[in-house]
Amino acid sequence: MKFVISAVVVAFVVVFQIGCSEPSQGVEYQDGRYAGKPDTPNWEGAAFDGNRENWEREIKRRTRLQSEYTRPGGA
Amino acid sequence: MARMKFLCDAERCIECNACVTACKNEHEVPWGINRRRVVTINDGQVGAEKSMSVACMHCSDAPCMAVCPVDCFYKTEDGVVLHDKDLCIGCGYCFYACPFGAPQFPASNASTPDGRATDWFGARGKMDKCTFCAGGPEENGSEAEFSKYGRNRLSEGKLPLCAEMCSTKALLGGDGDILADIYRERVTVRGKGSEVWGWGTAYGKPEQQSDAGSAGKQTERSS
Ligand code: SF4
Ligand code: SF4
Ligand code: SF4
Repeated sequence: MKFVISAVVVAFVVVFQIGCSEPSQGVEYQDGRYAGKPDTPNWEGAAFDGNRENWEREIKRRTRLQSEYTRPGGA
Repeated sequence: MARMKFLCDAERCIECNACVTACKNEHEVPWGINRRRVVTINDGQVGAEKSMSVACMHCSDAPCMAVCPVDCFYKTEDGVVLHDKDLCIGCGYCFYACPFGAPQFPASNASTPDGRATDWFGARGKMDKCTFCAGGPEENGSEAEFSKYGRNRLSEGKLPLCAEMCSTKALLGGDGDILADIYRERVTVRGKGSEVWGWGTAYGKPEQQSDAGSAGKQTERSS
């Protein structure tokens, strides 16, 4: 009986501790490379064929287009 | 490296809810879930009414990531906070941790076997939230990714649809540095200055004193 009670207490403490954990909140890198959870980067696909620079250039270009003060024909 | 952020300009948002609708349509978001919402304060008070479009802000220091007991969140290299629905246990911790109420749970799953609605612990179904139109861990643009997380526009070189189709350009999305430049230019055109981005607010309002002080100094210097 004592064993069961101790096992339950230990299990409760372990589960409680998991609930209180705090995983990292940043982008994970190792040796200068992304080391977070696996996910295909945005530039790896049919549209950009692995060319990261082209992807970044296109994203920044489209971001700038949101300003009507600077886009061609804007105010 | 781009660092993806949203910025909503409360001086421009006209509460049309087009961003909300576009998001729901683009990702075929299920009933009961709105990845984006428009919040209005002082509704109906002329001159005081302000609206703001809110979704996941892809926090630099994301509380949802900190509290998830099964560690199902991750941050991509471009700063987008995504999560893995295969790991999510629907505990709802992220919902309580998020300052913006961004994590959502499908209403259809929140019911007892005999059909009574409930929001019991664990009965919520998999969490869903704004993905910055960047899908999830599945292969980019795949059917599996679409069915779980919606369309992956970032991998097509496009920005979030909610921001790109905003007619007044109140909602901006994309590289944070460029968004800051766009907003800075807007407030300058509006005739505002540093008070808009916080200096005046954070450090009190000593302008009158310092104005007087600097005027005094100028007088001193010129005399
Ligand atoms: S879900 Fe909430 S806490 Fe998490 S990144 Fe989005 S806004 Fe931040
Ligand atoms: S609901 Fe899912 S994503 Fe949110 S904290 Fe729980 S397990 Fe993590
Ligand atoms: S970025 Fe995409 S998923 Fe997020 S609110 Fe906008 S349209 Fe919806």
